[in-house]
Amino acid sequence: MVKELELKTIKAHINPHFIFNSLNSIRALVDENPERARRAITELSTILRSSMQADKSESAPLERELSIVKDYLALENMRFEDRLRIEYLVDDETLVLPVPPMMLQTLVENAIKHGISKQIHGGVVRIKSNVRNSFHELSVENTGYLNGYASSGGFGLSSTTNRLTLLYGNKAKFEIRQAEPNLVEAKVLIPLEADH
Amino acid sequence: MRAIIIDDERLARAELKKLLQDFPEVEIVDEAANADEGIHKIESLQPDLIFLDIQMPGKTGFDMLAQLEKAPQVIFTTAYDEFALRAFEVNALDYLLKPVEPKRLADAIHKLQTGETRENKQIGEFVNNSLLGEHDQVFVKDGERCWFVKLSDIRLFESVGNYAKVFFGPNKPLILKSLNALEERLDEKFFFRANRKHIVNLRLIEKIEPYFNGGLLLELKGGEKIEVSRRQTVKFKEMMSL
Repeated sequence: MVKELELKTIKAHINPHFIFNSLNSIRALVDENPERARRAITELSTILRSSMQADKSESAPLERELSIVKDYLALENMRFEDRLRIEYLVDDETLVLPVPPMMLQTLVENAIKHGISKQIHGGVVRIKSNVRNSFHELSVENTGYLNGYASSGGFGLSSTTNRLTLLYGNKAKFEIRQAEPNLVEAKVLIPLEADH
Repeated sequence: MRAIIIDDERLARAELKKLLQDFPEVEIVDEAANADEGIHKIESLQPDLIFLDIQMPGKTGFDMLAQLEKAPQVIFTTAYDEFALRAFEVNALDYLLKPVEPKRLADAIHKLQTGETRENKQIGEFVNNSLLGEHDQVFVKDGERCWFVKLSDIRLFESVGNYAKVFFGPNKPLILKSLNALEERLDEKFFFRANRKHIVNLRLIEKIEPYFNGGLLLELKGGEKIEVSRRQTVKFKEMMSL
């Protein structure tokens, strides 16, 4: 019961800054590009609905999580325009694997908030998913610096660690590091034969 | 009113420009996508007003303001940063939440206009534009706290290494400016270099007493006691025609 409650509070998180900025962009697009504005409303609806529905399950197939992230990044792309490049390097075989709902979304939100939005010329967000040594490796890379994360308390990071521990005990791993001079990598390792 | 819009999102700037079409009294002379571009354009175009986003890459809107010599009128625009605006101690300042409500925008502009006409009547006496007059405002940021301060409310600048401590009301934050640099920019009709370490506001002196070696001791409205060096005392007496 306690465990369930904890999961619930973690999942319910969605960044209000993002919602209002998106609405503002959409309002500008209503005149400039009505087709894009309509699509943006659909994308925003999907994200809001997902964040509400996530409470109902402890895990979801990566494919479903990825579709939320794609909608989310499409909206961020509308805001940041050419300051945001998005790359997906996802092995098809990993699409059916179960992952904690909204976890990938949280990591991607962090990549935007602490990475891209702090770079005057923007950068890349890269999502990778593959299987290695009986672990599902899921990672999010972004242009930027790790100290951007530290300075703001990092709700997303501690919540990710907590969720993985609640779901997989000490079998899962989460790490975030400065992979290259201006590239941050957040990586989650989930055991393939997880029983939870 | 000549205005500049500063926001890192092109669509946000476009949306605000569109809303401002209903206000012919506000002329958008330029826009900027980040703080450095903003500083450059403010210094070259000298707008009356800026619409300023708070969260921008590189530097925040607050950091940008702190770098300006004198701050124009500012209306902050932000999606969800009310917490950041709580940092303000003095002056009710205006901010708009994005997406901007047209009614709130109208109120903010109206408030500025009424404030402006009142002030224009008081000024008039200034000729030299490059100096900071007593009605100019500066933006002061000290850690998390920020203030818009009218120069007429500042009673004392005190040198602390490369910094200057600015005294107004109960506050004395530090700014990264040397006392010599400040002295060059301040109008000497109102601000007087009393000694190596202090510049005082002549209008905020409470008491003047003779002091050792033919110097003077000034007591300011805030209770601070400042010594006027012997050399400066001659000048001070001339100015105040004592």
